[in-house]
Amino acid sequence: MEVGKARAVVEGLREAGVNFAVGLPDSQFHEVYELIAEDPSFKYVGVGNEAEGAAVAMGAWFGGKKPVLLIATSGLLVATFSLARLHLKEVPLLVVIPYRGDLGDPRWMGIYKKLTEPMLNAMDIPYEVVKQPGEIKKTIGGCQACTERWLKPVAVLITGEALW
Amino acid sequence: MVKRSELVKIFASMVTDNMLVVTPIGATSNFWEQTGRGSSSLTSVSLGMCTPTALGLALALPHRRVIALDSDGNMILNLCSLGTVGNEKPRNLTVIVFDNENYLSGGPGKGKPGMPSATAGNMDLEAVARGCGITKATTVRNEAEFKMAVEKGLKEDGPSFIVAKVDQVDLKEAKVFREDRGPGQDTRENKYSFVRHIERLENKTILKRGVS
Amino acid sequence: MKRFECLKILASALDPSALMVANVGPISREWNALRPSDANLLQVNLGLCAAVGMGLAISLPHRQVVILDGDGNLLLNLASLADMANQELKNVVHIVLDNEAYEGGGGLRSATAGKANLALIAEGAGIKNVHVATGLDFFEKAAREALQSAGHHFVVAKVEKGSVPELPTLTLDGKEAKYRFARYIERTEGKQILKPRYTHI
Repeated sequence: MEVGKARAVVEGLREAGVNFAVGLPDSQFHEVYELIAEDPSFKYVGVGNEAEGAAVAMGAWFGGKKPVLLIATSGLLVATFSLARLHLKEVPLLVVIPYRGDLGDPRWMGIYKKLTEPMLNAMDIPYEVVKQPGEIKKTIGGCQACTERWLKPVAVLITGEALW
Repeated sequence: MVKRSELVKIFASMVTDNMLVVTPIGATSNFWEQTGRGSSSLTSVSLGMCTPTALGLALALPHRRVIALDSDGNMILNLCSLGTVGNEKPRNLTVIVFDNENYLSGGPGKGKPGMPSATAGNMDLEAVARGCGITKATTVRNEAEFKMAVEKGLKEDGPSFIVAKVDQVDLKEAKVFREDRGPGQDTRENKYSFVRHIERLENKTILKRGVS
Repeated sequence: MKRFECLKILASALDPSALMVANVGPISREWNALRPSDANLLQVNLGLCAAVGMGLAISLPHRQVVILDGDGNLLLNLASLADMANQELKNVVHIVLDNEAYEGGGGLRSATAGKANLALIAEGAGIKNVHVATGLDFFEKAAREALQSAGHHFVVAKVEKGSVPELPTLTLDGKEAKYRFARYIERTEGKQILKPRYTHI
């Protein structure tokens, strides 16, 4: 990912008030993880699987932090059980996913693209797809506000020119 | 004969009001609710999420002692969380694992154990924890050992990890509590009461009004 | 007279153990600012205030139930008045803060700005203790009397439109409010109402 776009993601998160990041990296997004890990305004926790990650983020919310879960498209499938069960506690959680498998992706990741939106719909997790770099910060800010008001996970899927 | 319900009662007598407890879905949450501490704890947390949620809470509130009352099945499901605990090294986190060596709630009931979990065989959770860099890891097999380990864990800097081997079957005790849950909360009510409890302890706002 | 001033009078005259039911909108926010309490059930949905109050009054006949209603709200479900009257309740104080408008919805006139007269409608439904207050002194007198004597009291308070600036926002959403209210009744009545058989919602 171009560093400028990665910076837009990190700034968008910071401006939205996010201060606790949990993640497992995606190759196209690694710049974001690196920037967050070295940014003192975030506490970054790298986890072993995304289901664990969702739980850590939930715990941090109860402790007063504003968490974000940064996971790969494939990672969403692993996180599914925890995310679906997060509804039992109805807490806010911003989920940011580099949306792989779209046209323009040099790798064949069609299966992840096929599963992602139906999966989010099945879990009743609202989401926004960002395709332009100029929309990154605004969408992150809007989705963070949403998640706090609706007390449920909300996802930002970054793809197209915003990702490549 | 080491009963999980008895260990929970012993633990309840040792934990103070300013400590935060996280319990997983199932009998442990029932036993914990019976001690009257349910509404000031995070209870009925979904499978595999107990210890990682406690970790997130501990990292968010580093000055506050956080205890996870986990189980073998939950721990095994998200085993990698021990790796995260071992590297984050939260001094305020104590993880207690009630290890009954079987998937009891997924079993036949009627006083019979469920299918064995990995800890019935070769898996040693204490060794796994040590392998993750959690040096304060121990296994206890009776009430006296449990009490000593918990006392140490609650007093010293953590992270500490206590595997408490318990009887394979204790659903009868849990069943009694389930039928008369008295103070029991559903997960939605528990969320509200837990977050309001933390808001009072920490004197800050965490949950602004959501939508009804 | 201003609605907020009427509510202030009520808050000062109210027994702390009285159960209070209020409808969505500025009424709930104003009341919450004056008497926040787990004994309040706020943000009751449009048209249901009186009915919810009636249900409470019937099931807890020894508790005082105060209903804070709005004109538009009550007009939505006039049948409630008839049903309440036929119950011959002895523990209800039903106050309508009649600003002759749908204030929460933008301020259009309600029927009471025209020919509708809620006090007459209440009498026609069979409610005996009916008062209309256009000034604060009379409202105070009527409210105190109603709160201090058994019976089914109906007080229409003709108020101006508009709220108070800088009201604190409500901190509880409807779900949390449900739990708080139900647990309050459990505590004060010594009975179990919420019986979660399973933890899942």
